Amino acid sequence: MEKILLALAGNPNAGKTTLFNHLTGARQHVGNYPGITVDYKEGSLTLGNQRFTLTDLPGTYSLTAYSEEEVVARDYLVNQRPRVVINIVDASNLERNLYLTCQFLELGVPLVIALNMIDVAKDRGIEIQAEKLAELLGVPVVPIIARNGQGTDKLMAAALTVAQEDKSWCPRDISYGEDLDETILTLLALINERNFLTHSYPARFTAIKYLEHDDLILAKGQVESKSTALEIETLVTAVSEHLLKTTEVYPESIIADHRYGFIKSILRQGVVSQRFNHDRLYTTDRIDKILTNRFLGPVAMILILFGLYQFTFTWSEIPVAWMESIFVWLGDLIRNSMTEGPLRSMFISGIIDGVGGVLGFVPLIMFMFFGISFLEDSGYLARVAFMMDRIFRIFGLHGSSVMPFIISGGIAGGCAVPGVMATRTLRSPKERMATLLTVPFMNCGAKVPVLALLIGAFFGEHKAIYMMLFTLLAWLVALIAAKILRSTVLRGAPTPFVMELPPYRFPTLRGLGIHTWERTWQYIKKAGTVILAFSIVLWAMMTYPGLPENQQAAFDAQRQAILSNTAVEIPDPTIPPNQLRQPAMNQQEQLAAIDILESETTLRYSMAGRIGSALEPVSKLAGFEWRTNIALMGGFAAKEVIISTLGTAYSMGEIDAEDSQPLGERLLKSPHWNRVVAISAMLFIMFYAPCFVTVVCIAKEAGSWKWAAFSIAFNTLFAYILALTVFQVGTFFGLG
Amino acid sequence: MSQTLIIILIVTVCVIFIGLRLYRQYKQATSQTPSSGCSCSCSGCGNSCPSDDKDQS
Repeated sequence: MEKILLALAGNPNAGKTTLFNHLTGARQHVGNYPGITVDYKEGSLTLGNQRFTLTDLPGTYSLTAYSEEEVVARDYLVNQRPRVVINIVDASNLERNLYLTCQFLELGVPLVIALNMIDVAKDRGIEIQAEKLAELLGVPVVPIIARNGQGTDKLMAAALTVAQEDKSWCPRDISYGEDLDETILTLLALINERNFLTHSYPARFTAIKYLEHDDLILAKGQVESKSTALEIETLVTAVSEHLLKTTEVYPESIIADHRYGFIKSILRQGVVSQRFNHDRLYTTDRIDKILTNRFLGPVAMILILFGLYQFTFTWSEIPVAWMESIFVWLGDLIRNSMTEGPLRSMFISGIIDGVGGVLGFVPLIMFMFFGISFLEDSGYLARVAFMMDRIFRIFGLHGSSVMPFIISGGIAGGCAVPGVMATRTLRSPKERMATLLTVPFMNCGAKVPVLALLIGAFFGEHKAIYMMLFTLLAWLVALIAAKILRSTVLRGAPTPFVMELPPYRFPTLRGLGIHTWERTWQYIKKAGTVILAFSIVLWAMMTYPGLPENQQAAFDAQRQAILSNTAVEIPDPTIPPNQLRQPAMNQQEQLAAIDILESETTLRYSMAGRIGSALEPVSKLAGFEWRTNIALMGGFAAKEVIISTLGTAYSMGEIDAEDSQPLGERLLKSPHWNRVVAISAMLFIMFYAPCFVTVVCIAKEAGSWKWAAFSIAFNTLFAYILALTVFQVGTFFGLG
Repeated sequence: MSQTLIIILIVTVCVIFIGLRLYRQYKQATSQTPSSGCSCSCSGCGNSCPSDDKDQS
């Protein structure tokens, strides 16, 4: 049986992705803030015997090409021609949401309206007569609650009925006043006569888009027929000038006014009734009076951020220690049960010390994601974006840049890849590019365990404070970098910004559990697959080629010499017992020194060691020894690899490999690490080249590999200068 | 000697796995398909999950 194509469309944060996930069983990310979906996604479902393909379109306020999402949504509808469009409408913001519905009606797509969040509307005292609304709009209207699936069966039944009718597109006419209506009629005649763009859009829709100065339609018109396009543009210019002279208003504004007039005329016919006084402050407004207050808001934000990290570090401390003990025990178990050889070394130094270091942070990651999911689901993250807008404008960025920053890990624990993709919401190409190049500065979920490791090892007494400081620093550095870019290679005027604040919602325990587990499981899965593979390969690169026989023989000869020298002294009966111990101790120390020198020489002689050593003259200025260099290079594949590589390198290096220890303790004991080196390393890791996948995404979104190369070079140079400065200044003042 | 052979085998498998993974990530990130974009399997990357089918009856 033929699969029916359905599309989910609506305003941002109306609940499209929630409904999509409910209907298809998918687990697309849902957040209580606008702009989560910037591309469309497809899923399948079966209703009775009928199979459907369901497409989740990005949230849009209109079908005019103002932003990338609007272009994606409109192109999809026009090119794919879904059998039914399910328009998700937020019942608690009906008037504003119906603005998009008007445009669907004008486009003529077969429509079913899902009146979502009907429970929120009721709580606000809003009563909606769905049957009346359906009658006036001429399309089915079904009240639903997408969060718990209430009403979705009826919705799908209505969609199936409309799909089975299989009607052709039937555009609705809305009056835009005498002047515009007359022009539209003239344009209609011209468009129909010349079949101008009629294969893509209804004639009236094209005429209205010309009046709205839709850039994409104008460009398509030029391609279709330059002469017709010019005629239409001349007519539109004439009416625009006339309107400006007589009313001082552009046609776009008149069209918007009349659409809202159309909506109001429907709503006033007994569709909506308000039980409460309009001036009543809703709970959301009351909370916002404090949390988005010009002075109290930032204080509350800092406190919430600190609370998140305090919660994360405090609650995860004991489970993290358990995890470390498990990996130490595992290491000892393998050491005692396997004979010495390269395979044992691979298991202990490569897998357990490498992957174990990453997996040891699972409890910390879990608690952090729980806290972030709480903030996200409650709607607080949208308030952070709202407050940051004021600051962003100072640095030449757009308010819409805030959400990509947060998605990339602005609060910690995000990912730069969806962050880069989220920049599609920005309309100005230069603001978009500046955002695109600076979002990788945020502390993504892969950087968090690296920071947690170093903060835990060197600043264990104030973990939450340091984590918060590094988060704020990431924002500050990203904003400074953006300012530099906006003042040099990406100079341009700022564009205005309007942000929608969703209502606060108390997150459900189930929702929090699912979000936390999904993200934690991704972390575990990545550690068990990609990180494991990288750990083994890097272990091999740190092991092979082994030392040449002559060098090994030289070390053996040194050992023999020590043993033979002390062997002469020990049997001497004239030396008292307390003095006998000193040569024996000296002998042990000398032998240990030879062992350390041999393991370090072996590691340096290996493939990875040679690369790390080659970079040491430059990296040493920032405080990084050759082993750290190996880890930092591995971090280009995925930032978690930094931990696993450090684990392997310090397990095989100068610290006694036979002594199982957590990586933090190894670093703390290493003479090459101190507090200044740790800060310098953290700064470098936070700001150097983004990981491989992010770089590819930057190239794709920027439309050029030059920007991707710029991102690698600019970030690495920037991070190096920062790390070098901190290390040199810190060392000069003896802060290590 | 046998240990060295096992290690060569394991490392080869790992290199192939990483190569395929990076290639897939590259292809997914540069493709224009609906599920394009996030393919890094990162813990913070919520948009990476592919859509699963679910029957609703």
